[in-house]
Amino acid sequence: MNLTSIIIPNFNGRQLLMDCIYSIKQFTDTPYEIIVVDNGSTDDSMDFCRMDGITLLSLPANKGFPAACNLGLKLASGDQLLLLNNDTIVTPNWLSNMLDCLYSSEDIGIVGPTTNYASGKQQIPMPFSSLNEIAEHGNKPDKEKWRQVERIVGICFLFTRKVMDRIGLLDERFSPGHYEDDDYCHRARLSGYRSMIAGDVFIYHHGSASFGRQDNLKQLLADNRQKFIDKWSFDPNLFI
Amino acid sequence: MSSMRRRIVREKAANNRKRVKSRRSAHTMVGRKKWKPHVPSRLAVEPAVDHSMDAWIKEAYDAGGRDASLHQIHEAVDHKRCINQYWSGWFLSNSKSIPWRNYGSISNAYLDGYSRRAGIARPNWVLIPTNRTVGVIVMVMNEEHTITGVIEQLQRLPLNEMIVIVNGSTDNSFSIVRKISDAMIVHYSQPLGHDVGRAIGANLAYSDILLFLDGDMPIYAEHLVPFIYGIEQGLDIALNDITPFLGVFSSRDSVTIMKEFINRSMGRPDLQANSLTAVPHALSRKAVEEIGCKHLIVPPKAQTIAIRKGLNIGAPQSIDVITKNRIRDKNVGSSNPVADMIVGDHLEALELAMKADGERLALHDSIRNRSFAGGSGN
Repeated sequence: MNLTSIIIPNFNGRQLLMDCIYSIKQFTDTPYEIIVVDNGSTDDSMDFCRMDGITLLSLPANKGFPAACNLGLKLASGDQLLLLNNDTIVTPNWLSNMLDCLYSSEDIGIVGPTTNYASGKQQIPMPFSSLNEIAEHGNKPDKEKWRQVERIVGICFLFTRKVMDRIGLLDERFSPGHYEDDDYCHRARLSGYRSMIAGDVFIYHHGSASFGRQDNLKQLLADNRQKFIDKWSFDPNLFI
Repeated sequence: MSSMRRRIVREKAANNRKRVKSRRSAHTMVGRKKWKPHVPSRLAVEPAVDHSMDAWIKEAYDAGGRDASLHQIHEAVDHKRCINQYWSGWFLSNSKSIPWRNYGSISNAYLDGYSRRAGIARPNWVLIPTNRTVGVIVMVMNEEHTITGVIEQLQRLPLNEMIVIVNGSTDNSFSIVRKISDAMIVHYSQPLGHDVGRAIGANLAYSDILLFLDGDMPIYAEHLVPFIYGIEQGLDIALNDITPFLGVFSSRDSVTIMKEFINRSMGRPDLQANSLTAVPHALSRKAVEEIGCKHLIVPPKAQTIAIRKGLNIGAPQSIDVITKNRIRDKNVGSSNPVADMIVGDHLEALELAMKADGERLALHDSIRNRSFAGGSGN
């Protein structure tokens, strides 16, 4: 049976991580494994993982998002891989809908959901007023809502092992994070793979500050955008 | 040399020259120009001395001091690895002359000289004779009593990475490792079974030289050096030579017998009972790639693949892992699950080899003429 490896990088986000994993356990009806890559947390995130029996890769210090993801990807044994932020809450049918989209065509390589907070085309206003409502009404499978895009954001990033075998892992030059997802989608496109938004999936994203204060974040975004331009000679913001 | 000894040597050399001179003139033909080699006067007085251990110790001490004064190591850099680079540069350029059995004293002398000149406290490190990246993979299942000792020894080595695979542990193994080291730790709540951890670790590692250890047996860092040097010198697999610790054949267990059987079947009787089944051992990156990480799960299979692919396999070190082997309820008794599993592993390995190389492997039947009785095969 098709196994999905869900890789969740974590840095001092115990409560967020707990909520995220709880929602995965509640709402995922296809086979999956969870791998938490801990980036040197000093809270008891790791204790939680161990006690809950969740596979944990513990790093001694914060190596950033791409490096952590890559280690999780190396550890993963699933036929498809999913990178997930720890500050998300998933919803009923989330994964099965996304998988339907992913495997609906040979040339689809990457799939992402809609969410309340993300840069780019995936952001939609929250369709329900509470998580309970989502649990009851959300995510009815609907392939009419699938649409092709040029870029999927790394918050919830599903792709096939075929793509990974073909184009490799995330580019760690973008550490600590941002634009490695743009870079990956571009590389997938160069290899003939399409990226899709599964519009019939909505997941909740807290959007808590993963990368520190606002001014640091601005600088990081600017630096990494430049790194992308240096690498590919075009502006990644064109595809957002 | 003392001055009296110098005088005696000088006189002896002078006497020798007189004798040689008279012999030569007897054979010199008239008219032929006498050619004398130019001998530097120093050599005429002192014969060339092969560097003894003491001489190398002094050389190493001086080299350490020189490197300390030549280089300033930046704060952010890993000092242990940096100093090891200087050391291995010096050692490898002199390695043909340095007696290997004195490696420990000579490398210690280098570190003495270095730390003295650099004005730092003499660290407890063990320098390794390689510039290649080195990683260690440690398997742990409930080893809270021994893991500290294991890790502390590994921390004396200039490693590029340490990967600890903790599986099925209900004790404090994870917390201890996290607290005392910078290792990458993979924690599985369920026990993975033997050897799976090695495959996982090998897959995660990037280093050129990989050392595999178990968390239940601390090994002195000094004793691990030959595995690393073996790979540096060209081995793809550096096994532990357990031959000195095995008794006579009649006293051996089934696992040992199988290990030797498969080595012989694959045409490597020289490996005796040495096997990837046992730790410690080291692999080169080439070995990992040629064998494939997933085959490391069944070590005899990995070894068979390695032999078939012509990888360089040797056993440069002997560490007694037999007498100290920790007794668990599953690995004692004449028929225990672990022994059965290992014997089964060997059958798996033989099947792979036979499928590829025929049913007799290296041991062809060159004696019989089978066709005379309706037989076939060799």
